Amino acid sequence: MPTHKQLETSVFLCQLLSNLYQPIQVFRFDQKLKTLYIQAGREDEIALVIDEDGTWEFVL
Amino acid sequence: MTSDLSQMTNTELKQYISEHRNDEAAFRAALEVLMSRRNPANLQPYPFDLANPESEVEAILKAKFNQD
Repeated sequence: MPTHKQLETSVFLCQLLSNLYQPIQVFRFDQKLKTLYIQAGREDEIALVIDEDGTWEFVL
Repeated sequence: MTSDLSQMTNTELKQYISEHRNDEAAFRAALEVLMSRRNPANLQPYPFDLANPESEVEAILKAKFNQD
C-alpha cells in the first residue's frame, strides 16, 4: 500500500492536472519499488513518480 | 528484455509502459529504467510543506507542459 503522504501527494497532483485539462493516462503503484507512477498529458508529456515520503519528481 | 529497455528513448519507454500497464513485470522493468535516469536535482518537496502548495505546484506543472 502507498503511504499516507504518498496518497495525499497523488490526489493533489491529479487534481492539479485536471485543473489544467490534462488527462491522466497511467496511474500505478509498484509494490516492490514502493513508488506511485503517473503518466499524464494529452500526448503523455509527463511522467512522474511519488516516493514514500510524499516527495515527487518528473522522471521525464 | 531489460537490455532492450535500456536502449529505448524516454518517449519509447512511456509508450512501452502504456502498452504494458497490466503486465507487472514489464511495467516494473520499464519504470526501473526511467527511475535510473532521474535527476536528483529535480526532486520536489512534499506539497503540503510548501507555503502555498496549489499555486507553487501548478506553476511547476504548467512550466513542464510548456517546455514540451
